[in-house]
Amino acid sequence: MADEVKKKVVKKEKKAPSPKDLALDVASQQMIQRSWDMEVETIFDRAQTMKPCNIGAQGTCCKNCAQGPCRLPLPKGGIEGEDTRKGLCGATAHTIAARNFARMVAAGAAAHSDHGRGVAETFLAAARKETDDYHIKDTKKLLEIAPDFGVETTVEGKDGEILDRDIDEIAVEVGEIALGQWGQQTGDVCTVKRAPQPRYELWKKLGVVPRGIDREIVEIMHRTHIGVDQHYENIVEQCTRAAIGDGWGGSMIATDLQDVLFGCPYPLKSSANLGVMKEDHVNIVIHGHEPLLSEMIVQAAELPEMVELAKEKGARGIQLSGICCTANELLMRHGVPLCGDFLQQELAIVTGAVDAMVVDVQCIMENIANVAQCFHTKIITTNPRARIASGDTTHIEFDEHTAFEDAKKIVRTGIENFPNREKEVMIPDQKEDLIAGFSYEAVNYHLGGTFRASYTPLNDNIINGRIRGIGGVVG
Amino acid sequence: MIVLTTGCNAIACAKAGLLTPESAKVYCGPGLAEVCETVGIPPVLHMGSCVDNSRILMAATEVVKAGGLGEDISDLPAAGSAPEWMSEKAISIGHYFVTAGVYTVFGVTMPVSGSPVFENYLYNELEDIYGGMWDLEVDPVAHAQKMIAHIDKKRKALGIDKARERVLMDMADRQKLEAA
Repeated sequence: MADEVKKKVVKKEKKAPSPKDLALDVASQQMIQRSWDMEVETIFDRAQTMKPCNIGAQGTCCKNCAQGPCRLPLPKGGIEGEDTRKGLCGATAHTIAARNFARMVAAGAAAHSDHGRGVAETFLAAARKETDDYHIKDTKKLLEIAPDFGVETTVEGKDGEILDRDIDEIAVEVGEIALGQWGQQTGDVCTVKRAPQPRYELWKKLGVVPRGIDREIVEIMHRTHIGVDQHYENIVEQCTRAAIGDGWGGSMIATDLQDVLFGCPYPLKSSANLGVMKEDHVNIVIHGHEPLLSEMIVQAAELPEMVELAKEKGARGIQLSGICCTANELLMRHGVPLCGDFLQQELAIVTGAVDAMVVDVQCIMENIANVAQCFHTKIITTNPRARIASGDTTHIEFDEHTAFEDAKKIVRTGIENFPNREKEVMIPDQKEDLIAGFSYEAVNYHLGGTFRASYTPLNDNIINGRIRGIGGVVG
Repeated sequence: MIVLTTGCNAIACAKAGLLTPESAKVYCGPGLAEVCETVGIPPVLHMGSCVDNSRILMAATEVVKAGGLGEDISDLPAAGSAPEWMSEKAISIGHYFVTAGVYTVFGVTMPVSGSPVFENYLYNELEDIYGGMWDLEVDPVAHAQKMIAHIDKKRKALGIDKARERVLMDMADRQKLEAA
């Protein structure tokens, strides 16, 4: 009897995880261990104590009005016969799950598309020459995309001859029409027509071509308010409009205009993981999602006066690296190395080597501000949309009209923080080589060469079975 | 299977050493390894940030236009995946992949399991409308197998599922073909 009780107790005791149980990546394992040694809390600790809410995980918690929140969990083993679950208003589990799904689509499409809007605004400022910091760089891509925005690239001369149209004029018109796609109320978001003809026709037939990028997102929020759209199929139809407005609209326009402003990516070599940071350099980590400011930071960090200042402060130079998609943007166009992914943002600071972490929008954990307080790291927020109340952060707001000056201020702040390193620096050795920069134009070129760029060789190899198929793996 | 990737998944692939042309020899089958070596590309192509998923849509559109693999994205031997998604952005991406006609598998979890009717709508019925649908598979190997099974299904529909003998042709053979 006593033995049995003992066994039960032993069974209940949870084995403390080791870093190897929490991450596959060796660099992350080392930094998790170090965070434990230094008693710095990270997401890996919080995930042990914070377990997901079961009803939320099922998508059937509705808090869209104050009569609830109504909780409609699916009983273990499912439901035999009729499903009679209802919220106070009568919303079924299907309606509630669809509403919650739709609001995720709305938030996701809003995040991508608001990013795109910022790019379009900067693009237009550059095209109108209202800023000295941004220029129309990739005119080839501009001429390629202009027809999709309904912008002419040629004009008729006096004698009826066809002449090239002024590139600045084209840029302004593309910028105006692009920015107009967000607020458009009727018609089609213009870039949606890029889809294969049968796909576009299917969408037309179903009536799901988005009218305007913002409009479809707003309509999701309306339809999911209490007492509006209570048919899950109809809710999903609106999700489709908003999602197409994201992928074939806001996101696509963001990519287009970023390529024209900063250059279409072509393959280049770089490296990835925490080991890209250098102990004897000022480490500035750029984190978030937009390339607008970080493009300027790349330029600012290369200025001789900045490198000189870094040396004055005792460093050998400035090492930029990135986390999340801002990192990917800079990698694609400049080969700036990847410091880490979403789950490594706190761990990067735990190295003790980050002199400044510059953040813009999306996927920035509030807790980096707390982790930074255990070290000398300065967290610099830059976007009016994204401020952090935790910890002690510095806000240097980015304005596209003074972008380069803002970037210099940020880089200087990082450099001046270098002598404040107090704790021992420990940067993992891990870094992997990589080749990135595969825009669809680059793939085209790689497969076919300059004169016969095409996807035909890829198709041929799929048809003959050397390649089984294509996987788009994201997230 | 050649992989197009973006976002944090691209960073994870980079850390695992999959973004180098040399990795093709180590991890890929002989066919893909040969193509990667000839063209000089990695088997996993990093296409950019998460707004650059639009590049994947454009690549798929180009493949349709290049011909021989059907008339629409839903005909292509292709599948989408977000094995370790976590943000709401991923749901929007997933939905524009699905409605573009791509079978799209998510990993980890999907907050729709409390409504089997809605779940079935996303995981099955959408295919009748768009030729693409959602799916969830938490186990990474089974996740990949589901993508492969879908690709094989599409290969079969296109009539390219049988292994073909590679025949070296000389001029005489070609003339015979042309005469026929």
